[in-house]
Amino acid sequence: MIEAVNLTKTFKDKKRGVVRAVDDVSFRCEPGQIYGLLGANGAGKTTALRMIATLLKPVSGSATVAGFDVVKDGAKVRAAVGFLAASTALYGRLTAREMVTYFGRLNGMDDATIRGRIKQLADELDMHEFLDRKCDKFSTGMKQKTSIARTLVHDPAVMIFDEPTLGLDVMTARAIVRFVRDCRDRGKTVIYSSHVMSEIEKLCDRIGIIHDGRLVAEGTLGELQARYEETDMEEIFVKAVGGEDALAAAIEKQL
Amino acid sequence: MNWNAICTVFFKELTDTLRDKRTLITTFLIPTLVIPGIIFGAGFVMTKVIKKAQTEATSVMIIGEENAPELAADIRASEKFEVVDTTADFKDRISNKAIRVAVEIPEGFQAGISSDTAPQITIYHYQGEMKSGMGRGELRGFLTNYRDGLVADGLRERGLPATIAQPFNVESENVAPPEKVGGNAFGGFVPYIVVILCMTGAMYPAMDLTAGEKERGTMETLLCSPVARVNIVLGKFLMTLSASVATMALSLIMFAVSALGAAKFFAGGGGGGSGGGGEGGGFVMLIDPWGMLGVFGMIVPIAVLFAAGLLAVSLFAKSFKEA
Repeated sequence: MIEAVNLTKTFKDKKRGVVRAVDDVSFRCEPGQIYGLLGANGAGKTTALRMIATLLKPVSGSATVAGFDVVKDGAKVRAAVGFLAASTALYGRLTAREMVTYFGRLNGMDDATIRGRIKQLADELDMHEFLDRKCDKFSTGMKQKTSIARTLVHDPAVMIFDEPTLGLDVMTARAIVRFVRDCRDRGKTVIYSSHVMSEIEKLCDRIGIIHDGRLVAEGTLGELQARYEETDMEEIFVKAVGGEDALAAAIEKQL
Repeated sequence: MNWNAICTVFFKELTDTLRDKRTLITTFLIPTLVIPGIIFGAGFVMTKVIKKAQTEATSVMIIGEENAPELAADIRASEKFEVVDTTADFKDRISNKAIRVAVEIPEGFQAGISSDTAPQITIYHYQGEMKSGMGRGELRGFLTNYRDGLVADGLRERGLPATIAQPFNVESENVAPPEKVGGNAFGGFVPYIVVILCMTGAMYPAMDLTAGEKERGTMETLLCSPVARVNIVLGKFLMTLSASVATMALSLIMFAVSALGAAKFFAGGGGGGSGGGGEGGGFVMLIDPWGMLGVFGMIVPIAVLFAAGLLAVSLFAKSFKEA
């Protein structure tokens, strides 16, 4: 279970002064549910997720993950969460197996359990072929699969995927989407951020649209379709953020 | 503090580091190659230069040769000296290393030694220049011998015993065993080399484990794990420390090995010149194992300091180059 209440993060920037990267965002995600965060680049998705994964400290507001507060119980939150983002790279000089084993150990697992878990994850993600090769020679897809295995080695109850299909080919992206769905079906709590509308539309039980640091709309796909009187996710998104002009203005502001 | 986590981080960093070519070069290759290089290279060049300087005749210029034809003839007769034609710019020629030394004999020298006024002979040399210094020594020794000869002659003429000028003799005897002589000579500069190597050994891993991780984006991955931060830091610290200690241990071993090797090499190779022989003898020292362990023990705190310091500094750097 993830619950964010009035989560806010500000940065100081030399040129732009104080930037409100995440502004008063609140949402809930229940086990067995995929919560989709939809937003343009720089909208604040990653910042929000990094606060939930305890990598950033919120300026105000709070978040609890599996009953633990992200500020007070950082270690327990991290033990319960699997966090995958573009910024979580792999050790190039380790093999995929060593990489996953290392994180299994860091999570306090014993070697026999890790071996079993690697076998299981490699089956599910189809990565036996490159399990014992060094990560820096991997293709983007292989890297991403290894990252997922690394994220989930300790079988966390809560999973955070920040743009997991970015830069992947269709086959790998589909495999990953399928895998995320399987996780949901096994009762995991999943947050999935993306700016690919179709993925969010197909995958997520609840969708939050984030724009310029604020959560501008939230609901199931059906609810959002009803509210904005559109069936297409892209149209819903543009309407939710206040039209194309608002979108362009937000991009302008980032420069 | 959790030893399991620290060890996990440590062993992962160890495998990671051992697979990194750049770290291997700075940590292992440099001490293994540089130390013998310094000892053999420098030792070889030094002995060669010294030997050459010793076998070569000292080029000397005599100013005022006509004032002491006898002395000048002796100098010319000596194999040790090669007398060069006198020119006015002898000082410049010494500076330019064209000649090693010059000796100036004052006017009325011959008359002076017969009377009570002791005339003064001046040796011109270039301080700090090895060949000039050696030439000065040779010349000085030669002149002293000449003077002693004169004294002995004078005493004999007057029918006095030679012991008046030299009532007693002084001799010094070395009680230090040869290995100690070498040890002291080496002891002076070993610590500096070792400290520097200690630092180069720690520097690369420290940078790689902090700034390098940041740059490659693996820091965030690592921070996602539930391990307490202090364990990660300690694991990385231990790795930096072991790299530093490994470099140092390796360099000490290489040092001992190449010193012994050099001893054999130089002792077998020469021993012709007295100085060269003396230096060759100096190499026959033994860095005994306990002494090595002692040095090792003394250096560990320095290694700890370097490892911690470098780790802290490079942690603030955003990328590898910055570090």
